[in-house]
Amino acid sequence: MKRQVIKGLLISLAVLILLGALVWFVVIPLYAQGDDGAHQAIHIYGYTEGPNQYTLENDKLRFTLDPKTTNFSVLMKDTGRVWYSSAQDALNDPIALTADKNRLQSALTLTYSTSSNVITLLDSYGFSVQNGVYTVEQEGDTVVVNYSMGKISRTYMIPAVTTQERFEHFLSLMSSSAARRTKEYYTLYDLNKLKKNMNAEDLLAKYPLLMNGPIYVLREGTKEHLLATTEKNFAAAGYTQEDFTYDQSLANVESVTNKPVFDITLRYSLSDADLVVEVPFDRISYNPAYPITKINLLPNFGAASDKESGFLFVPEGGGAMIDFNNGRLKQNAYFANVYGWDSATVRKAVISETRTAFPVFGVGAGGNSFLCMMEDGASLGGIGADIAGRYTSYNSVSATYTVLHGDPYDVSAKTTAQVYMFEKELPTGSIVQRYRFLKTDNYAAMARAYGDYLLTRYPALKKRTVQPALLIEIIGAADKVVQYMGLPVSRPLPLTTFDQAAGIVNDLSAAGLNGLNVKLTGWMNGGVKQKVLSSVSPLNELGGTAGLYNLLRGLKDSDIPVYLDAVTQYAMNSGIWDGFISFRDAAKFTTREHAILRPYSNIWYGVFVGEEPYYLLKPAVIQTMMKNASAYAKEQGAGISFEDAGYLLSADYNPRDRVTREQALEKQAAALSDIAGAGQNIMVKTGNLYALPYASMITDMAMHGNNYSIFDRQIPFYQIALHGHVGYVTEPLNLSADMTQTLLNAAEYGANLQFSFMNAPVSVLQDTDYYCYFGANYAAWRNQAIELAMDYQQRMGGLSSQLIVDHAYLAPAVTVTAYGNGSKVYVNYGNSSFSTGDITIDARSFIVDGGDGV
Amino acid sequence: MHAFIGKIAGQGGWKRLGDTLRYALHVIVRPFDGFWDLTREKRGSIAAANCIVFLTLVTRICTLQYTSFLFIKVHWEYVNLFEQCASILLPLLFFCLGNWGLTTLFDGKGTLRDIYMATAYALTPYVLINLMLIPVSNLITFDEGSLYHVMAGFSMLWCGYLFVVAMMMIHDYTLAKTLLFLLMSIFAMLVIIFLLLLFFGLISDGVGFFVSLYREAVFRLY
Repeated sequence: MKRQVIKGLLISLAVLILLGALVWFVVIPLYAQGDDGAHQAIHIYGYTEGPNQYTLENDKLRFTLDPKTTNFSVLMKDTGRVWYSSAQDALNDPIALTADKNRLQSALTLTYSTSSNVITLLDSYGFSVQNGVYTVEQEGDTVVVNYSMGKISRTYMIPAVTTQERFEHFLSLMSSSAARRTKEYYTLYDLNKLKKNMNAEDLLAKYPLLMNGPIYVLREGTKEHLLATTEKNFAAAGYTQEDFTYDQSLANVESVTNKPVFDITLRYSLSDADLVVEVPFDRISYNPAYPITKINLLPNFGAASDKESGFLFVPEGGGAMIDFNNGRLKQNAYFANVYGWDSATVRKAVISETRTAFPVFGVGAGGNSFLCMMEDGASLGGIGADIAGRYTSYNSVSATYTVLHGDPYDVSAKTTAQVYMFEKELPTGSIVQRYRFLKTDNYAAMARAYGDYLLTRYPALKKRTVQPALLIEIIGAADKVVQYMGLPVSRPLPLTTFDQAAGIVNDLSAAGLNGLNVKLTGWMNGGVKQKVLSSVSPLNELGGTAGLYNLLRGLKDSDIPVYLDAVTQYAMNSGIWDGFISFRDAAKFTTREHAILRPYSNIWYGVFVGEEPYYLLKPAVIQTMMKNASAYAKEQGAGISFEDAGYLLSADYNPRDRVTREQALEKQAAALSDIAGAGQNIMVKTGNLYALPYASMITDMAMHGNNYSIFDRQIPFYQIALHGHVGYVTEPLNLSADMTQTLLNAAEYGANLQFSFMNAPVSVLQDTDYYCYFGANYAAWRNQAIELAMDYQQRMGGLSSQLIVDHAYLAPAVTVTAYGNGSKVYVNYGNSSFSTGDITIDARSFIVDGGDGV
Repeated sequence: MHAFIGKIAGQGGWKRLGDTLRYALHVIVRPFDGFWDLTREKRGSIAAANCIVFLTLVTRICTLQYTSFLFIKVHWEYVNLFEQCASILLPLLFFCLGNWGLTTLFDGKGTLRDIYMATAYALTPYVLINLMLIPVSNLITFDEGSLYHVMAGFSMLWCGYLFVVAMMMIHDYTLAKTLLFLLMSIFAMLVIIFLLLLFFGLISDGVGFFVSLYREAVFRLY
């Protein structure tokens, strides 16, 4: 009996718990969802006549905005050159279609999507200015343009709500047939004669005017052409702008809409020789059903027609130039993501990494140029450029920002339908672009101007003295599958033990190489494919903690700086035992799935499904990993080298705890700043802009970048800006695809050399993923590497601390880089020798002329 | 191990194990006689059968590891020993079960124990020849490889022959009936595999259902 009672109790308890769980986890959230759907209705701006033009002026520039088109021009007072915000004479473009013509005249374009990923592009000219749904204001030194963009019907000059008295007054002024027709489109509401289905309270809430007497209200859903006729009728009856404004005030309702309509604000201001354009995110409104995915800001600023000559400057590699109208229409247009790809968004294939380390672009023509520095929000952006002849007759370069990221989600295995899920809210802050106008169209001068800008922005760069350096990367261990206890398992394969590393460095040092810097790669936590840095333990296979200690002490004694390399952003081959819990530590896609990444094939570009996946870490965890790694290195008296921080930048789109890319950037920069602030040396790869003030050395400096065929020339733009302020080295010379090419690049771009060595014979790497190290055997490279490095140091060593003052192409394959001390470095990429004056440069070689270099 | 053998073989377990193992050498050359006496005269033992199966596994693994690379292609790093063992043990298990299930219904005289013992004894030539071939493979040249291949093939043929005879003698079947039931046994093995696959397939579908339920719930609610 008693047992039965207990049993019964238990069962009902279980049922209660189940029900409770159902209510708590399913029913409540399901209904709580309703709030999300409700959103602020979007206010639509209406244009009213104001001044004929808005002007901002200082002693260098005059900014003039025409409120009729919202296009503006900037006059450089020194040279008289005028830069226009949109393509001039776009209407007469022979190849542009109407939509393209509208785009040519727009201050911005905006792309929105839907949950089924139907993408629509709106331009400010066709979808806002032409409809008159925008306003222009001047707030002190700032001109503000507010756009409502979307497929909005035009605002008609007819009363939406008005009193019976006023309405009938206007009707009496129309012809009888017009009055009859007009009356049909309006409903009369009278509190005393309400129809049965009407609720007085609701009506009063909607139309407070009703209190004072009967009113006429425009019927909802009246067709456009009927509205147009009605407008004509009212106009004929003498209905004016004042009447309209009066009726608007009577109506006391704002025009709102649920259609895909967007509000967006642009603010223009001048600061010295700069025009600053800002798009504040808190002034953007959108309907969550139509998320804004992209904003292309000033797509045609400085656009040059097909008759002009000049060039577009884009930040590919160290910088590249696209001549106006170069006719390479068979090539793809240029595009690069600022700071590379955001790993927290999905990509199906990788053909080449579209990345740039420094967000700046520009146009140079006719003795003048401008540079556009992307400041706030740059990490959301990408830079695109195209030549005339493809869609329009204009050459242009501009930045596009991805504001709400989205990816497809397979809701259920039972359907093939994919739902696109987007970030729930816009980033904070704003997008800021700074246009700096220069009195030159020489790219080297532009680069120097950019260098000045960087020095003002990052004063830390000024204090640096750069020493000649030779970076030796030593590869500790890589993983290899071996038979262990009857099972094939992946274990660290020692390539260079700590003792051997000391041997290599001592050997190089004894050979007379100066400025040696050592980077240890794959020295801990499983080797090159490194486990998470919850703890740091040097590999026992290489000699363990004691071995590392001995190596570092030895190098310290010989005054050779060491950098310990760490992977901080990804969890490769890591489990709970390694201190990695995916639920706690992994970043998420917008689809709320963990950001699980896989390598891509070099052959068919798609994802290697069979390869072991790895996780992207949360930005906060990345920060911790960076600190753990650097703390360990600091304890050992070594510098820290980051394989990814300062090179790769990824957000976390977990809807519960979103970290935008901009916030992730701040986190990375903060961690770098803390480490640098504690006096530790930092080495980063390729040197994203935000890492510059903290990095003592940049490895794998991007030089020619992706050799896209649309380029006419590649130029050391970033290097001109940085040389003498930051030390940078090439990719490992012995691992590069074409060593001579890399060496010539290094000479042209003023980079120091890097070699990558391991002690083990190459054959041990057979059957591993590390064929990239096939050229790394020290014994095989020793003599050639020493010879190369000695020669390079002898010729280029004196230039390390010098500024690059000029750069030019003497022939399509011959460049000259001039330094502050008068030295000139001539590089001949061609296959035949080249002479200029009394200097002859042999085929595929470089010479240093003058200054300290000889 | 000693206790285990002792339990099966009674007192003097080691001696009996030795005798029954040595009997395997008799069986392989006089199979009709040998298999008949194996169970009926209790000349064989489960312990010996276990030993032969174990030796088979050892032979297989040693073959992979030590045979000259001229004759077999093995990526030793990727060899999973447990997989290798399972590839021998599982078919053996399925065959014994399948064969026993069928022959009990059709006048088979052998018990599951008999079938297992006979099958195991029939593997003896594989162990003998292949163990011997490992050192041989390291002594001969590629051109002399035919010796290796012929011997390896011969060991399999011999095993197959013993197998048929073993089933015939254990169940007291005619040759035709034996062959028929061998075929049927293979079919029974397939049925077992099919059922297992079905079982695991259903389970993974069941799990998959809950996973997609979870995904949908997460999608709607999170």
